[in-house]
Amino acid sequence: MNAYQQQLQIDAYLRGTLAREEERLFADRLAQDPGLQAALEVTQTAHQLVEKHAVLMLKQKLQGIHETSEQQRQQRKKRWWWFGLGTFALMALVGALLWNFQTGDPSVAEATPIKTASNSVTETEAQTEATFSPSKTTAEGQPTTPVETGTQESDLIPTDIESSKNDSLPENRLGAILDGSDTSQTPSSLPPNLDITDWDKEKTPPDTSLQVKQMPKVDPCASIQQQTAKHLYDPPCLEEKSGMLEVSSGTSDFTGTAFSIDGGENFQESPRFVNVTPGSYQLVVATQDGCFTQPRAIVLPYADCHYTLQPDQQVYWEIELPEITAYPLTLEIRHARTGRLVELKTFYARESYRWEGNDSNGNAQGMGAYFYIWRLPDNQVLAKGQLTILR
Amino acid sequence: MKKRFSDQEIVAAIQGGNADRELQFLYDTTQKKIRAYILRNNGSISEAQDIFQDAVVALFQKVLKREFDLQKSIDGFLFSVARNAWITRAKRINRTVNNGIAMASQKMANQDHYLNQTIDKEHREKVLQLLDRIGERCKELLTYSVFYRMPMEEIAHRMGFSGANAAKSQNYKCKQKLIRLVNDHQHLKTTLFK
Repeated sequence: MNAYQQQLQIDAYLRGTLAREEERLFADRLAQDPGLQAALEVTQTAHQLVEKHAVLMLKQKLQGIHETSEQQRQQRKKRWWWFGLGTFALMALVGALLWNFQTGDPSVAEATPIKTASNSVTETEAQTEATFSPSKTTAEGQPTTPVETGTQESDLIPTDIESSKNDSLPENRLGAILDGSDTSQTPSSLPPNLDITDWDKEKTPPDTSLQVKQMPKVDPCASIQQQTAKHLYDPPCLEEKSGMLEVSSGTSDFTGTAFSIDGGENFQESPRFVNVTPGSYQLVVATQDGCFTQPRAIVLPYADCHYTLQPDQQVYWEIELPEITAYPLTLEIRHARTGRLVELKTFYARESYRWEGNDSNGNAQGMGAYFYIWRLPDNQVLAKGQLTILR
Repeated sequence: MKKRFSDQEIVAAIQGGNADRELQFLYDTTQKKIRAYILRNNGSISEAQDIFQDAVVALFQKVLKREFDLQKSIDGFLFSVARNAWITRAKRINRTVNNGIAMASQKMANQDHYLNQTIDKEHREKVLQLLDRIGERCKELLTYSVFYRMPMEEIAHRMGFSGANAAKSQNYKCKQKLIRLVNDHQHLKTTLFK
């Protein structure tokens, strides 16, 4: 048997396509021939390599499908977001226009009855004409009934017709209207007790053209307004006190700038604060030009810590609360998977605390992962971490 | 509207070595279920994708070895493989916690996942580099004959050989090339297939 035939036989053996008798003979030879064993082994490795390669190619293809689909999903999401935003903006615009139309512009609101009045005058005139030309119709295409229409219009807005005819009121009457003593000229649609002067003031629309023309204000202190502080070092486990904060503004040029984390009482030139006890601080940044930022609340938290409890063996979570001024502190313990609140306790001063793995009612909690959160009075997180109960 | 494929069509496409559209179909249908299951059970999207890929590889291997029973649905097969794989992974994580070796089980699982991804990446690069040495055509031919278990007639037809014998002879030459490569890299077996 030459090498080619032997290779074919090895391939067939590995693939399981040899006839039963051939397979038995091959197995016998394999048991006696170390050369054949080596050839089989190396072929097996070569096959595994090819299969591995094919599997990787297959996974690569699936990964490609996944990435493309994710991209498409993101794009769809983005499109929907823009569509939603556009719809919202459109609705807001329509709403604003409607609101403005109905309540915002007295001239618009008032124009309607006056216009109606003048129309009715015109119609009255037209109706007079209609007496002589019966084929004339109204805008709705209905044949006009001069007597009826005239009666309706005059019943609805008799004073409007009158006022529209009188372009200028006598001064004494105008004064009486403005001081409220003369209500006879108040449009029937207005409540009788409405103060017309206030109504005018309230309903006069703001002069938006003026706002558009205003130049944007240049804030000389803008360069320091965006500065925040980042933590360089969070001390762990409610123990150490030497945290580190650094003010960051996206630029490294702090020339002529001073920093305070106690609300502006003490300033330093370096943006880095060392040996800072975790807690809540008020960041103020000042420039030599006399600009000060408003105090901005920042928190230097403790680093996350993990504790293991074995309550059955009297191994509990025992801690000493930190020496900070920001009491009361609130402790929350929750079940990690479900988020169920297990313990909620408030501490008004520094003290020791021990959690034995029970809830507030004293019920022993099961084995598993829990997490704890210490909160400052303003609800900011001072420390958090994981608790694992082993039973 | 995307085309739906029957299980028979998917199996035929896998055996034919060209199942791109079918893979997209499986991604659009079964992957969603697997992802929902894994996310519901504290997994991540990337873990769900890994598990789905492994399940599809298992399906391919089963189909190519002619062991897939068409009485069962492909969707059900993939989901049950994925679920079992996820349960095995979750048990491994729990065991770690129970032994008290580590406390942050999920954190460790994630680290494990990233570590595996890194190892996989290195692994992948090694395999790809090695196979590149036998040439593109040999790689294709051996993939058809070894992984897809295609008959030589089919390979000859796909790759433009004059007939099955020519394909067989070329297959032999390519395999010898690969065997020489394996012999030159004795550590391969221990590093790649342990």
